[in-house]
Amino acid sequence: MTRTVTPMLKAVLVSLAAVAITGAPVVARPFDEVVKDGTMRVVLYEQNAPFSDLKDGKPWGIEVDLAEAIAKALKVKAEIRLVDAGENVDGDFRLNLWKGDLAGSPLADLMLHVPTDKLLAIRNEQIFMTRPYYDEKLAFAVRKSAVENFDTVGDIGSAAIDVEGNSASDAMLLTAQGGQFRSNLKHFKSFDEAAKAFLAGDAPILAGTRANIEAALFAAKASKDEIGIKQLALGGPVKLSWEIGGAVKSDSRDLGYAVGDALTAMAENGALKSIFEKYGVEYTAPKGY
Amino acid sequence: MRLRDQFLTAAGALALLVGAAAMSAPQAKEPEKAAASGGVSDQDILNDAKTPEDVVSYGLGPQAQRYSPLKAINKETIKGLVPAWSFSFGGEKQRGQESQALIKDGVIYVTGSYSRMYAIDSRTGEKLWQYEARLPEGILPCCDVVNRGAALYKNLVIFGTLDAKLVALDQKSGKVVWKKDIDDFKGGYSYTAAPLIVKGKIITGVSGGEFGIVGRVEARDAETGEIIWKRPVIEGHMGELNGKESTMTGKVNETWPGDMWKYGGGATWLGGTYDPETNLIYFGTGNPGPWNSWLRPGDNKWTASRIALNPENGEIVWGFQTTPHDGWDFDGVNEFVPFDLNKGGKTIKAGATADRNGFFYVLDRTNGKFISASPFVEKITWAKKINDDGRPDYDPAFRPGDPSKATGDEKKGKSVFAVPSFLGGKNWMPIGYSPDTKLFYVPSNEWGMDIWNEAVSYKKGAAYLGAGFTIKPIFEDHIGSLKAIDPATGKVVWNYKNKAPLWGGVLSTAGNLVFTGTPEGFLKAFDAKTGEEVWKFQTGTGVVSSPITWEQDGEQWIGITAGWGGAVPLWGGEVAKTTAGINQGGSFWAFKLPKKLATR
Repeated sequence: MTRTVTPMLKAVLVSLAAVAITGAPVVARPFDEVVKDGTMRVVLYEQNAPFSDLKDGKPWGIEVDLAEAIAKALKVKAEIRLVDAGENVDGDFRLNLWKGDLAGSPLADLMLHVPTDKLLAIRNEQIFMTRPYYDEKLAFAVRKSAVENFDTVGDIGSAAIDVEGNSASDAMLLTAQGGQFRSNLKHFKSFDEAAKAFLAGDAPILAGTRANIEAALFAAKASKDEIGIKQLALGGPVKLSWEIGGAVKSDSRDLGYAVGDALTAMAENGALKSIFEKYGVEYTAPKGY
Repeated sequence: MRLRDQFLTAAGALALLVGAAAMSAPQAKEPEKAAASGGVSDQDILNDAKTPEDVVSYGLGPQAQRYSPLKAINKETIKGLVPAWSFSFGGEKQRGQESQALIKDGVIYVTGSYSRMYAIDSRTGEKLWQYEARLPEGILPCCDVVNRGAALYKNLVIFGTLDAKLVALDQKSGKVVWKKDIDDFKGGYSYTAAPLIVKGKIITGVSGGEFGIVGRVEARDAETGEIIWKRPVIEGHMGELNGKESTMTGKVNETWPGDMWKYGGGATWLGGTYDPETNLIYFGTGNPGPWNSWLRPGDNKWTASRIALNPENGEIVWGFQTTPHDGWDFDGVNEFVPFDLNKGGKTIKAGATADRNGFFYVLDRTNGKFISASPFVEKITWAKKINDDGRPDYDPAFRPGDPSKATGDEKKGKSVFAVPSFLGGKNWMPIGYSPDTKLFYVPSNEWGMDIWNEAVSYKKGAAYLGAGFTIKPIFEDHIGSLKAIDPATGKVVWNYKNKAPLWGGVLSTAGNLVFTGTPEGFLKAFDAKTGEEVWKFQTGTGVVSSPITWEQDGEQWIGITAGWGGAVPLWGGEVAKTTAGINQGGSFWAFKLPKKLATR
């Protein structure tokens, strides 16, 4: 097994070795076993376009391409399984990476679309996060003809907003400015439905993640002169941006490093950027990378 | 003695046969009904509470009082109660067994975890057939893979599956007669309750906690599974009758802001009861969504409520909201048990319900009018009391904070210690009522929770506003508490304390006994008047189901499903300590009191 370790990763390895002394469990499916097996089992979310979804019976999306590119770099085959999102990401870790679901589905070696949040990592000691590969932000699509200037919170006024129910944007809008936008919201079961309604002229504003919005406008070939994308700093407890990476089981850290190295190489050679662009999403690198 | 009994039984059967022949003669032109001989009729279901030789409905009768007139087993004779046989559900699948068994014509029908069903010879414990639903990969049941029981109708035995299907099997062969989707499991729907049969219709609710779910009650033709009516429980939604839109539930925006009623929650996951006297179906409805109450000002009807429905058309006749504007996940699906209340020399057609929120309510079952409410768990904090109009007197200090006013780096908002916890003063486990003692028997739990807005939460890889919570016991020595409650005064007459949380239903008998199971593995019997523990049996695994009793060959039998699981082991912390080390299982135990001991 040959692989390069960047200086930064070396530092992480040293600090992790200190942790390992206190009693790391037996390694379950580390890097060399995945290589020996020749397949890496990757879990992605279903109904999570443009990152991953089922299209014409096949996995489709940015992270499907990404998983395959990572597998290629590790010289293995990606075996992709699409799963429904559970009640929260903590639960998804449990179901897909370390404990398993009630139907007895096989555990995955790698999960993508994981928020690389330190607090999330601390309270889920059974998993280990890779380096992030994308910086996600909450945003709005605005029909320029309907909303003249859209620069501050006050510009929303009484304009209707199409939004996926129970999403980050929904939580942000329900809690922002003491809840003054609650009656503006038109809720949909999924972002897809909200975007379809917006594109059909239902409301002048669409809320969602930047990737969601860019991909939806790209797929609909919407004109940039007519529809703009904006990020607004609204008050409230909900995070407006977070970084996305991968996660492995905590006793498969070396696999996590190998995935991280592959991601680093892809960020450097422009492969990440072109995967995102294929789906109409502007690649935004995580801070510090 | 024995010979004489046998003769009497044979003579009785002969008389019945003659009667049946005489009665069926004029109806010979209805082959369908003739074919149902030996099956379960509507009349059998309505009479279930009075016919101790069988149990043909969940709750021992549609009122679900869980009372049997059998009295051979009593405080004195119970020491002779012995296991007759035990049946293993087999397979590698265990987890929580919450099923109440049914018995008809010498066959026990009992469901198991993972949507399985067994038919067992009630005398010998031999398996007659078994059915295993083929569950799709990727089901995400929130709270274990339980099933709470089946319904019998004519020649069918009907139950719901974790992938939200209703399956009707032939009682004799176990073969599928019909199978219908309640909803799409991919959308977060599931089904775990025992269905209810009312006048040839099978009545079900829905389980599921995902965004987008709106609770509803549905009636189908029990023989074909075809939908007759649907009633969404959240205001603004249209009902359905015979394939056409019927009426709207409530009025749009009466108690919900904006369009949030569209996805209001109110899952009806525990099933219902039926009262033939008022001809009403009673259902409990779950909590509203999103969980934080500040995001949805208003009462949010009909979440956390009891509603009464007309079985013919699914119209809501009355509603009573136990927790208006719920902010604690007081998922008020709890069953409403009809009974006759004697108060001030009058008999009132009443009903009682022990709510997740910790209060025991008595309502007029004809119109939903509030009669009384009293706490059935201790140290309740979220409300100071229930006011005379039936609304809670909230304590604002114990409502989780307004997230739009949260400050600080983690923006947690205010953490509060709410009692009871979201698992409830009472969860799913059914209560019982004895017309002899005129007491309700309520399996309850004494626990609270720290609850706060969790800003660092993610769903499907994206930020969202979650709830953080830690469940904590209130007392050092116990969480579980089986209480006898006088519905006329609201007073707790006796209280049996159990170290682990109680998670199983009760059964009371004319023998002045109350039976219930414990996670520690015991099936226990108590003196119904005093609460004195008079008998126990260790099943070898935790008991989280509801017991039944029946008479067979002149002997009284007791039956219970055993197998540890349910929602309790899914939550860690202090509570988990009380159940650590309990092994899983999956079996049905049958006990009998041999005749020679009964007469001593």
